[in-house]
Amino acid sequence: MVIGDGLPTDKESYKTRFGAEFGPLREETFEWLKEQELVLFGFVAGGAGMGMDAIVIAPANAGFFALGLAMLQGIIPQEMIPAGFLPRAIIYVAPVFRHTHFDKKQVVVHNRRDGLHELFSYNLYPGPSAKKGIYGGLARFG
Amino acid sequence: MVALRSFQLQNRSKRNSSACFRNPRQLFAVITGNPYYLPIVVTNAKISMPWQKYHPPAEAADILANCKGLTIASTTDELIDLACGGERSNSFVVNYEIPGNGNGDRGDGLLAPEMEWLPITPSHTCGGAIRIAW
Repeated sequence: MVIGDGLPTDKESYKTRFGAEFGPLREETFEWLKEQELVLFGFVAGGAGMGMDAIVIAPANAGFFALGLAMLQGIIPQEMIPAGFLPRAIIYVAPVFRHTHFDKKQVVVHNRRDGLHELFSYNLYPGPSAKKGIYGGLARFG
Repeated sequence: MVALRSFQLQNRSKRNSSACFRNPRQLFAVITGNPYYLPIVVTNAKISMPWQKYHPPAEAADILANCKGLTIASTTDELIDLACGGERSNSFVVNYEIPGNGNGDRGDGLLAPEMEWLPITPSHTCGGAIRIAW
């Protein structure tokens, strides 16, 4: 786990580990996702009624990542998305970057923006990193 | 915050001629004070797409609007089908094209070193294995 933004943190930053700003890779991730067939779903991180709205955008063929996450966090059926649904956390899944950019190591980047906690999951399996990522957003927004 | 201020000023100037917030999304953006939600309000206000009810931030909206295809999942069963290739699937290959590197398929039935196997338990739909290729 690394922190992609420049806000204060006691965790290792992306720049410290990789020697570059995260911005260009963030844009590259977006461009890569546009070239894929995707799956989207929404959930309430932390539980219904007391958590925060969140969404996942992942390649459709990485459905097992989405499945694992949905089993951990739940899933809101599309027709049950409330009118006031407003994601405060978003997970972008881009597995291939693990091999093209991170020497086959799984990396999760937290990128804190104004009112939004972005998680870039450069892996295939929603293990502890996904859970920690969601907890990171919850800890940030209370 | 510049974008938010600009948006607010833009709406203030139109206040006398029409309602400020015809679309609830515009109201969300202003109430939350989050400029990341503003571009989608502006650029996609007249487009009706199923994903818009999720109110994604601008970058996500751009991805969803321009991706090759989109499945909006409502149940874990749908995700199982996506993960395994459907009810009648016995195996499901996950691979991605990498420029200059192909998709990892050597064409001889063997896995390239970069490939991984993710076993699927028999209780899952396809009961086989997922081959992950790079």
